[in-house]
Amino acid sequence: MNRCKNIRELIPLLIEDVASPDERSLVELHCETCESCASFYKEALSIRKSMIAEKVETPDAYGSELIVNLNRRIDERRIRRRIFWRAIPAFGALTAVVLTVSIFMWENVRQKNESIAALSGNELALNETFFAELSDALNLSNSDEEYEKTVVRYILEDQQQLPIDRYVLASSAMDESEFESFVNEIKSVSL
Amino acid sequence: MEHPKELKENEVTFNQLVRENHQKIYSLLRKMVRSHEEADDLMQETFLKVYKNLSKFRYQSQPGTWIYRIAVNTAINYLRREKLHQFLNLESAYSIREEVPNSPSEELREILRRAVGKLPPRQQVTVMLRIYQELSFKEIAAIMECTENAAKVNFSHAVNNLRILLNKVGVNFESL
Repeated sequence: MNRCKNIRELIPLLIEDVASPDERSLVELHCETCESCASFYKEALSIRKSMIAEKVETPDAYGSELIVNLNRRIDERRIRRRIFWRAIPAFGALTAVVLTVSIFMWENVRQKNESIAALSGNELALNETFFAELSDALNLSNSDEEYEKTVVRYILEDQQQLPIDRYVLASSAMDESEFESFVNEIKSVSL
Repeated sequence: MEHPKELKENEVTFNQLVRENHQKIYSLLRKMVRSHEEADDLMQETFLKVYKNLSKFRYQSQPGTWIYRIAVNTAINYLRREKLHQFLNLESAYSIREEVPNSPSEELREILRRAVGKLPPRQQVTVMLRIYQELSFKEIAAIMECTENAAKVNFSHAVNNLRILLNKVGVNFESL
């Protein structure tokens, strides 16, 4: 059985005419007595014959078409690479701008947070009357128990273009006329 | 970055290589896939790799052998992907018999074509290079980057497997 396995490995090489004379005589001798290997030989020969009968023809003008398509793709790739290399400095500059703006904004927020954190309880505990007027002026509801905080928050968060800290700090020590003009100033900027 | 003069020289050499080798590479690849479109995709992939690596090629082997090697590796990768795809779609070896043309000789040819397509990719390529391209086992070994003996063993296994596959679907070898 093992001998048949070896012979069957040699048969295709015999058919291809690349077996040595010794291998050839070994196969031929074996096939004279082994019907199964002899039929294997015939079958392998049939397979080879049928395959060789099938040749592929290259379509007309395929070569020129292929060269055109390949050169087009090579040009496209070259253009893409050129764009890529040119985009690098632009991308770097854009990154630098974004980074600078982000650092600037972050620093701005940080400073604002610091100044808010620095406000003491007294400075935030503003005169209730003044706050009522301020919340009216800004159309805020004063039904909320924490309306003072709402007003402060409004000033701090939504009116950031005003020099908020100064207003908030100053308002705690204002008399009525000073607070009137403070409200008017806020109105003139925000409304 | 390539110098424009070098680029121009590369292009001339490349176009020359495509002209000289496209027919034999096409006939090899066309045998391995189902349609002209698939063969054309593989041809373009092969020759783009040739272009990309042209400046590195040192002419230690024949350019034709080098291009064959690129084509064969491209085809083997493609066939492996395809086989995985077929496996995932649960196609069996018996699909060799399905939907074959009506004419008996064309039917047998189609069955044989499909049986070759069922071989492991390296065996399939070895059969193609030997039978269709009529290359020597020495040349096949150079392309497949193996020993001549390994190429012969691969070929023998391919023929054995083909015979087994064709027997399974009941092909009459007398009619082949």
